[in-house]
Amino acid sequence: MSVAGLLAAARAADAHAWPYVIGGWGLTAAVLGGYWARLRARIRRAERTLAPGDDG
Amino acid sequence: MNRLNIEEPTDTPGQLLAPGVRHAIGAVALVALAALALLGLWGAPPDDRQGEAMRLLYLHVPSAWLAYLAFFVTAVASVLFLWRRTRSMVWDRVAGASAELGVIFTGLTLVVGALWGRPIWGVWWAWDARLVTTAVLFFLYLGYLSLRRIPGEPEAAGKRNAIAALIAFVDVPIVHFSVEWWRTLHQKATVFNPELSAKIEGVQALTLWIAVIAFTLLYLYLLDRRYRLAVLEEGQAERELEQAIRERTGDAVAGVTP
Repeated sequence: MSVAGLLAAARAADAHAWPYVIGGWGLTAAVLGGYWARLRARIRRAERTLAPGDDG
Repeated sequence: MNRLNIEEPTDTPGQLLAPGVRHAIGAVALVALAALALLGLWGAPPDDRQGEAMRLLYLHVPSAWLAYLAFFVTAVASVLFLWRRTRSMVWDRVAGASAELGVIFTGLTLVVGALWGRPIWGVWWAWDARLVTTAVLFFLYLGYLSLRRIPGEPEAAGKRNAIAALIAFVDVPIVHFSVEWWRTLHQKATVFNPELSAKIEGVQALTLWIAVIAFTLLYLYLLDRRYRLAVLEEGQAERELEQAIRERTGDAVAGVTP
């Protein structure tokens, strides 16, 4: 396909790009937010377990 | 005999950053991420050629940059662990924490790249040098993280982990230069190209730089948290071991008591 053809295809695809954009942003937010939340929960749980006076 | 140093780099045990610094980094990262969302989804204009799909590159590019940075930190920490003068469990933990973040960012690079590729290239995946070497990078460090889970004496396990990390790091420059060395479908570097001349400007460039800064700050924050978790998990494992020894000693004493 020529460069002009590729550009035309890209423009045609543009109208359909938003679902991919929202999907990508949503997924990134979910992965990074989920990782942070899981880390936070695991740290709190471990800190409770290792709290002074708690023998296990 | 070479004794392992377990001292922390800050006055606060089990954390890389002082709490005040960590809170400040977290707050600035949050503000930068909010600015990124505003600019990336709304403020920045669509690209002349790529249209709205360009908005995915504000996540794809910083994710790839963070993957490089995270694996570089893992490699440096691994060298510091292997070098006798600086050998410390601190470096082993930093290497593991950074590699875990690197795997997450590499995974995001691949998935967001696929979401961009579908509307622009017409395919989710292509057997392209950049894509394949990035996928190899993902699996190499996934293997490294699996290796870290194999139990062993701390110093020996640390050396094993460090060597594996350095072997895996060989793929990082291959990924970066793959677009220069081979004919690829993937575009060449937009910012860190051989001419060091950024091929992006205006609000799009501003958005990309905010994205890089936001992701870098987020990485620093999460690295500190992952490190903290590693320290706590080691403490838990030690406590469980002590408890098991106490129980066994107690059983033995009970066994000899008439």
